[in-house]
Amino acid sequence: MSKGDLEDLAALWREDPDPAEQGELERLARTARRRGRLGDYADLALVLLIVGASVVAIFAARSPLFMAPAVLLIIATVWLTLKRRSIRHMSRMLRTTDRESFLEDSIQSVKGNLRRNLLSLVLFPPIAPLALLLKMGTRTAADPDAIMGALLTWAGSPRGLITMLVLFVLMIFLVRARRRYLAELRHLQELRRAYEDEARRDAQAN
Amino acid sequence: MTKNRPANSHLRENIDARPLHRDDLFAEVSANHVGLITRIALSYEADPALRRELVQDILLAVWVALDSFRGASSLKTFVASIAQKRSISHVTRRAREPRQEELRHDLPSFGPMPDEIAVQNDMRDRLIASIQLLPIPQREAIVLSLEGFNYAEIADVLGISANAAMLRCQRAKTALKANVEARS
Repeated sequence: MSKGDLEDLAALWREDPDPAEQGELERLARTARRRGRLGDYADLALVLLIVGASVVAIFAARSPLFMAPAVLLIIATVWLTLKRRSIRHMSRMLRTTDRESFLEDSIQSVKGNLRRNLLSLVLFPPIAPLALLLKMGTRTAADPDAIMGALLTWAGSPRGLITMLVLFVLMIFLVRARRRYLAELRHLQELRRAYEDEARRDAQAN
Repeated sequence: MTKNRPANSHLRENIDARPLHRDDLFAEVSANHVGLITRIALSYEADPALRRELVQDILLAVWVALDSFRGASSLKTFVASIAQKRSISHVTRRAREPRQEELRHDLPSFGPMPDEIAVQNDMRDRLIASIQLLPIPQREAIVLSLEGFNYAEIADVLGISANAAMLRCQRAKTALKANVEARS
């Protein structure tokens, strides 16, 4: 390909957006900036909301029997939220260095997502019933017999059925997310091999 | 053909004179480098709806990353580097390889005659499709080359030596030429 050919292709390639498209892109940029700012505050607000709601639930329960699991629930929630935040942060702030480091970071990030996913898959089944028990405890003043009755009544109610359906869907979502992460990891590893091949060719040409 | 809008063009001169502020830098990106971002996104994603998402994703990543921009490289190089990486992440996140779609003929063009527009759009479609067929390591090199980056800047974006950047661009040009000719 001659230099002239490449210049022609470059001229063809570098067509700027028309004014209408430019306007649309600038609108996208404003949206991105707004989303970026909101994201900075969202995590903190979420932690405050969850902790606040759990503290209120503890005081409403007024029972030592339910305080311990509630505190555990708060700790688990805060830990999970922080873990999720750090993983998301890592994925956004991928190092701006060479491709090898970038791909390695990306692979580590996906592996982080896989660990988070596994953590959710392992912790979700016990945490959901625990939260449910806490809820029933606040309603029945922590009487074990009354809790069991309330649980059975709740499970047979439309509200209970819908909740269980939502939990089931959530589990399916987690399993599907795991498969997606595994596919992403495979793609990244293939891409790393492609870059290694390219680097080998660079070295051979030298 | 690339023309920067005059708005915010004063920012470049002022960058050395005062601390870099994320809002000002992002305004410059928004005014001058969104074309570059959309073209990089175009080289990775044929689907217009997904490409719009990708552009949004790149802009958000640029916003987040601008906090760490210290002016070591030009803002254009910084933006191109982020756009390439987010596009690579986008491609690897998709379960399947991007489809080779027929591109819409509403791409911007210059020239008064409808025939010329049609021919130019057809040529550009072929060029885009040919770029999308290249392996990613070559694709990002040729896109930067077409964008007018020199070998040193390409090396900076890709994190390789200038010599390696030159060799990779040469291989990419050969492969692109073969792809364009095969689609003619």
